[in-house]
Amino acid sequence: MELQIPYEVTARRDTGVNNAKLGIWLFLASEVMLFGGLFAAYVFLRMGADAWPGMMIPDTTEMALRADQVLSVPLATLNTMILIASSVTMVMSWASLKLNDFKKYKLYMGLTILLAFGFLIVKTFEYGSKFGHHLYPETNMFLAVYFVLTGLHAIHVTGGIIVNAYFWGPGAKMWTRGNERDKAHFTNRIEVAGLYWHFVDLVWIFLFPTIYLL
Amino acid sequence: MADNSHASAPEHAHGANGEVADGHHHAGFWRTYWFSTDHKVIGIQYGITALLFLLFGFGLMLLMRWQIASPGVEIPLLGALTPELYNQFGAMHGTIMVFMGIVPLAVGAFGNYVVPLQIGAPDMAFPRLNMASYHFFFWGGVVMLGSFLVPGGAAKAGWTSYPPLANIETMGQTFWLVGMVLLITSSLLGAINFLTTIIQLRADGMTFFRMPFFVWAQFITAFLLLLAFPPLEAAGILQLSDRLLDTSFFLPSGLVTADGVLDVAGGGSPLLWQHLFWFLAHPEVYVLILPAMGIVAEVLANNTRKPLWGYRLMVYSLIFLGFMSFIVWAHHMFITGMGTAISAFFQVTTMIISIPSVVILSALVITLYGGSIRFSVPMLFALGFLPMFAIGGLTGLPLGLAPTDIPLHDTYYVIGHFHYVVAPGTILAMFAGIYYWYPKVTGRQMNNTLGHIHFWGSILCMNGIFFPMLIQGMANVSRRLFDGGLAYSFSEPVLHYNSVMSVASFLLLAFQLPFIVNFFMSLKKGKKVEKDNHWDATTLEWSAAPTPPVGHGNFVTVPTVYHAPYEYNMPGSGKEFVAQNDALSAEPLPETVEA
Amino acid sequence: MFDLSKVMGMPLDASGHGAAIDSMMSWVHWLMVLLVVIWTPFFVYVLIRFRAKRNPVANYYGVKSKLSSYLEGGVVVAEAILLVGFALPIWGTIKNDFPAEESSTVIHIIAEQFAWNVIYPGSDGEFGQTTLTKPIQIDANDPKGVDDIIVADELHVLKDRPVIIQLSSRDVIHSFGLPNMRVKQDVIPGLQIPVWFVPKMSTREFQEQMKKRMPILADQQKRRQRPPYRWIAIEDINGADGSALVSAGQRLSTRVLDRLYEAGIADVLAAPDMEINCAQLCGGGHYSMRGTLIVHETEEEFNAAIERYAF
Ligand code: HEA
Ligand code: HEA
Ligand code: CUA
Ligand SMILES: [Cu+2]
Repeated sequence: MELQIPYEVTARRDTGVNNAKLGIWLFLASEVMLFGGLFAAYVFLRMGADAWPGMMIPDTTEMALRADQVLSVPLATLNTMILIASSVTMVMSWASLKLNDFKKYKLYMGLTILLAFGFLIVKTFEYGSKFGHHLYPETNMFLAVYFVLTGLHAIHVTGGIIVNAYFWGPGAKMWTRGNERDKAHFTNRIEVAGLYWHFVDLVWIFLFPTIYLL
Repeated sequence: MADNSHASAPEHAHGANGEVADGHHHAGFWRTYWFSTDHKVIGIQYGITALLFLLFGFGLMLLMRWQIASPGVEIPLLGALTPELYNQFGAMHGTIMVFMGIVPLAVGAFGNYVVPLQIGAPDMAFPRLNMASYHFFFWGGVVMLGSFLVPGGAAKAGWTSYPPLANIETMGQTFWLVGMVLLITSSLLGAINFLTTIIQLRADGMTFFRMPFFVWAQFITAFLLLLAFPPLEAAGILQLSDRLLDTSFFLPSGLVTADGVLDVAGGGSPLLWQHLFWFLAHPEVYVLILPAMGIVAEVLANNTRKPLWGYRLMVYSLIFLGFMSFIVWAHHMFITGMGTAISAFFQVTTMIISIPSVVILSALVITLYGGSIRFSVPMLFALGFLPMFAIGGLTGLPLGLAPTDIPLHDTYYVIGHFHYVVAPGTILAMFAGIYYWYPKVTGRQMNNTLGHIHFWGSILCMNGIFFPMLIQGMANVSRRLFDGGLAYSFSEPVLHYNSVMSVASFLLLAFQLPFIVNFFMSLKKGKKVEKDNHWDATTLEWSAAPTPPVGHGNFVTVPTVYHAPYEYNMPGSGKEFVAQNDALSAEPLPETVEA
Repeated sequence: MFDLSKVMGMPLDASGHGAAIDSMMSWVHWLMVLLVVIWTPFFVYVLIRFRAKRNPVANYYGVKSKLSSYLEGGVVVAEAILLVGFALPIWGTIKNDFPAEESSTVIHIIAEQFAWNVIYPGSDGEFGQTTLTKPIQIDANDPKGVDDIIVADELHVLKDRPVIIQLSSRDVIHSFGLPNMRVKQDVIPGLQIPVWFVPKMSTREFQEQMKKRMPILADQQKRRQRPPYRWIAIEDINGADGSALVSAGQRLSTRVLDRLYEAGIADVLAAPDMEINCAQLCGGGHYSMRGTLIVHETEEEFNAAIERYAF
């Protein structure tokens, strides 16, 4: 057996958190700096650009004046809805564990995963239509920013799916086979996974207006 | 010794018993030495790997120094260097020394091994994550070294990888970027682990202001890594997409290179990269120095047999330094055409940030006053650090002021400045740490005579290498010159130093041999330490843990802390030193806690 | 106070604003010297005075005096003075106080791997478009350009006449350095960055000060390598048969050096040129991206020099 690390499950008195919770907050801090850096780059490049988005409206010959003439706001809005919904189900799944209701947990976690997949599918359609119009990252700066930022976010979503899928499937043994302590531990893990998921959601809520609307 | 009744969480006791019984004695070789989750084993993995990388980076530089001293003269076995090869070696020397040498050694090795022991923790907060970060580091290193073998060779745009040059460079640059992403990931995981460990796993009574200065240094360092690295990761991602997806984040329109007009959309900015890079790279340089300061502080307190002078002041300076280091980055960019307002801001912040360093260094020097100084080998290296860092730091001042940076920017003066801080500074401190904790890790002592030879040889040669750099820089000899400045007549008066420096660097290599021999020989032949607390130290890794350590897990009984970190010769204690976990000695009189 | 910049081996300053930078350089280094002079004796003293043999029992409290805080305060004050008294104003002049265009020589320099294309506007004082060809050329069908003159790796200017240079690059980042004019400016593709300076010393005066006897080395390898091959002879030396081995103004090429060596000449009076150096890593040829700066004394001399390159 592994040796026991203190405060893996219970919170430390003077800090009021357990290790995993503190860990995820620190990780999110670094993620903020990562996307912060990218947003800063976006601002820097846009200020330097003489026109934004600086390209034709697809299938026309007139210059686009706003990002939403190039990108599909409806799809993006749909995706925003999906992510927000998934955040809600994520919370529900954690709450169900708190209420000791494992079946509900399976249900809500399953929903979260499905919604995440939904998000990615919509994204693939979006990307697909761009490629269809021969719009690629190298086409111009606006599209470069669009693809790289949303792409990086999509990778984060995928990461979330993998983690959640693990906790939905094999990882759940910790609850089904475990004692009280393990159950508590598992609940913490879901909470932590949730924090990550909400962050991914939050990033999108920043990306949406900055890239699609402004 | 500490009695467990104080232990708050039952898990403590649990953890305590958990370990010695368990350990990894029965696990197989791979599990024990390669995929270990024991912070002590991982620390050693980091240490050995980093030292080997350091040696390799040194080797690259020796080839460059050969070329500089005698341009075009064939190197035995290798033949003459080409400019391309020279630039590859230069870029990789910088990258290897910083990201694969010093950081893994200072943080990965010393931090990993010592911090949990010093705060009375059974291990790092996330042992598996800890293992993961080592493996990210290892494979990052493999990718970096592998890049020498790809067509066009390794990255050759300097460790700073400025675009557009970096964008139009060969495949090696892509490897560099991938390698960096791996190394960055490793550091991020490590930083999260250190912060959580230090905040969560301090033993009972180990308040923040009872933490040894080394732990504080690692604590701040971890914050710098956590918050400064991601922007470079962002920059790396953008440059990768420039190279792989043909975007042009860093490429303005209408570039013409040797092979005609670049057909890219353009509209990008080369300066964007520099901002993102230096936003990391300045905090990074403090990552290179803070752990070194921490080690020096430990060794100084132990070998002067008195508390650090102004411990709290030092801690506050450390924290302040950490904050400031995020807002000085553009002092590397004065010459890029910066206006008055922005440059004024960064000159002011740069001057401000020099103050906490001054305070810390002064405190360290003043600590010596009134001590009873033992000139042990680790102490020699720690003492050597002080004046060397002073020279390195002071030469930072003219660089930090824009007008004086004009003649000095991108000359050997800059090279001299930072080598004084990282080589005779940080590297000497690293050696101090190795000599100081070697008995802890192996239960055997290193040979003293060899140690002395190593110290005097190293410090003399390093000055022989780096002081002339300052002189050459003053004469405006640029850095990164394949022919060491031969092409320019203004370098004529200082050109003869090239051979001096190169000879000194080969001698420096020679003087590392006693160390390498000592390092490996002592494993078998070194004199056994006769007691757990070999140096009569006050900190937990010596006073509460078995030497050498036994198996996975650190303490037979989890210590409880009653004292400030360095209570040597504490009045009224009647002892020569009072260990932090010494329950029997009373607290010192209030006003003396500060000291 | 004694000017350290004179003894630290900085390149000879031939510019208008250089003196200010140099004196500041001197003051910063005085501050360093001062700190080291204060600390080193203390450092050495404590190491001797408080070695275990001499002082078997350490004093728990150590230094009680506040002296160090005063010292640190002193450093703060010194740095503040350097900032407010020197750095900010000097940088201000360099960045903002550009001379008037009509009273100065305006030049465009386009850097490329690994050369400096120095462009003069010609008689009309206007710059034409440049083509993207390598080497760079002036767009033939741009009226502004017909009289423009491109000089490779040579920057000709007139003594005491302010110089304004618009710097740009067509490939990677270079850094335009004029050591003797205390000018250094990164040249960044996509941007056009101006710099200015006033040459206060002509090339002749410069060489007058820099001239020294260059030994003619026996070792051929070394002889071909050492910098003299960049240096200019400033004396005539005739062989036994009266034929000129080298004449003033001639570059000490390896051929000339060999000739002098064969003739058994021990050394030759020579001086360097003022130089342009590339200070930013820009690729394989970075180390050799060198140019020369020639400061002429008279208008005629200056024009003549440029006309040589017109076509
Ligand atoms: C460990 C690494 C380290 C440290 C600690 C520092 C410390 C400092 N650095 Fe340095 N720096 C680098 C690593 C470091 N630097 C590197 C790697 C580069 C080059 C990167 C590249 O371009 O490749 C660089 C480049 C660099 C530049 C850019 C130069 C240029 O490119 O033109 C500048 C400019 O402001 C600068 C400034 C400073 C300053 C003001 C400090 C200050 O923090 C220093 C403060 C310390 C002191 C002032 C000393 C106090 C001394 C005393 C009180 C005397 C005591 C005496 C005795 C004990 C005898 N540094
Ligand atoms: C932490 C950073 C670090 C360190 C420690 C060093 C150490 C050294 N550096 Fe380096 N250097 C850089 C970072 C560093 N350097 C950077 C960033 C650059 C700029 C690159 C660029 O231009 O892009 C640079 C550039 C640079 C140049 C300029 C090249 C140029 O501009 O063309 C030179 C020239 O001499 C140089 C020399 C040296 C030397 C002689 C050492 C010596 O001090 C080396 C000392 C090494 C040791 C003493 C080895 C210790 C290890 C052992 C003894 C192994 C033991 C092993 C076991 C026990 C298993 N360095
Ligand atoms: Cu151009 Cu270096
Ligand atoms: Cu810096």
